[in-house]
Amino acid sequence: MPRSKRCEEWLGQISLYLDGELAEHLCRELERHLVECPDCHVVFNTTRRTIELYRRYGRVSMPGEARERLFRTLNLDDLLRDESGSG
Amino acid sequence: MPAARRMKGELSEADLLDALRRGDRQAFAAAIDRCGDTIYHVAYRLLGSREEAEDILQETFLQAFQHLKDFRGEARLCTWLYRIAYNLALMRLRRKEPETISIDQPILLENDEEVPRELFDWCCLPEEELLRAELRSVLDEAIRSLPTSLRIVFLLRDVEGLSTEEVAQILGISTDAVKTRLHRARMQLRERLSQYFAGELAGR
Repeated sequence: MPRSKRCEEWLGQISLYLDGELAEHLCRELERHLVECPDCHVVFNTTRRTIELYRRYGRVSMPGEARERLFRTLNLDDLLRDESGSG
Repeated sequence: MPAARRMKGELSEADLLDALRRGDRQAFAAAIDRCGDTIYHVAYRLLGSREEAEDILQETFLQAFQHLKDFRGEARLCTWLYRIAYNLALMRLRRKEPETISIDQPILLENDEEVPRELFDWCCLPEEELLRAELRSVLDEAIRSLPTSLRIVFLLRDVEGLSTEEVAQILGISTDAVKTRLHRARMQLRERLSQYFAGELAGR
């Protein structure tokens, strides 16, 4: 586990860095720290990868049948037929 | 091309809202297709079942379409719908689990829970390796383990890609609180995934 006070402080900033919200000069300092500190480098990379994996695989969409039932509940089922019927 | 499909994603926000207020049924269909996936996703991640997610989906649109006059257009239409869905899901969650803490309460940290412990470096393993390890169920399990107040922020910001401001509007919290919770959520998920991948993939 990264133990130094500095590491803790930098790790507290990585979300702001990833979201492009960290001030420019702090970005450069954080990048320097990541080069020098293998532990923080791992945490940084695996955090970024965690977000990527959820973006790619974490989404749950409304199933087609749920959409159909919703259209029926709202008396919109003619629009459903209209849509599916004409490809 | 049918009108409902033609409307999807193409109408401006203002035009869609005008059409909804006129009672244009194709606009109702367009609103469902514009905002429905995220509503279903939010409800599913909060309540944990597809049946309940569908209930919330239906309740949200029924309630919203009945109260369109209350929507003053200060936020995006979807943002307003997400807020309704979130509140409906939260009410249901509190009925099911009365001990669920309020989303507005500050989160107390215990035992340095955000200090990274697992430093197995899985970041750059090929995706096939990760996928072989039942990735989806691991992702589901990890996000389910988050406290509700962190889970909702993570899924709206990172999975659904909404802005910090929009998430703050939906949840009725400050943008600073959104940022803090997002960071905590990411750190906890990273830790969970790292523990899992360390166990599954390390030392091979």
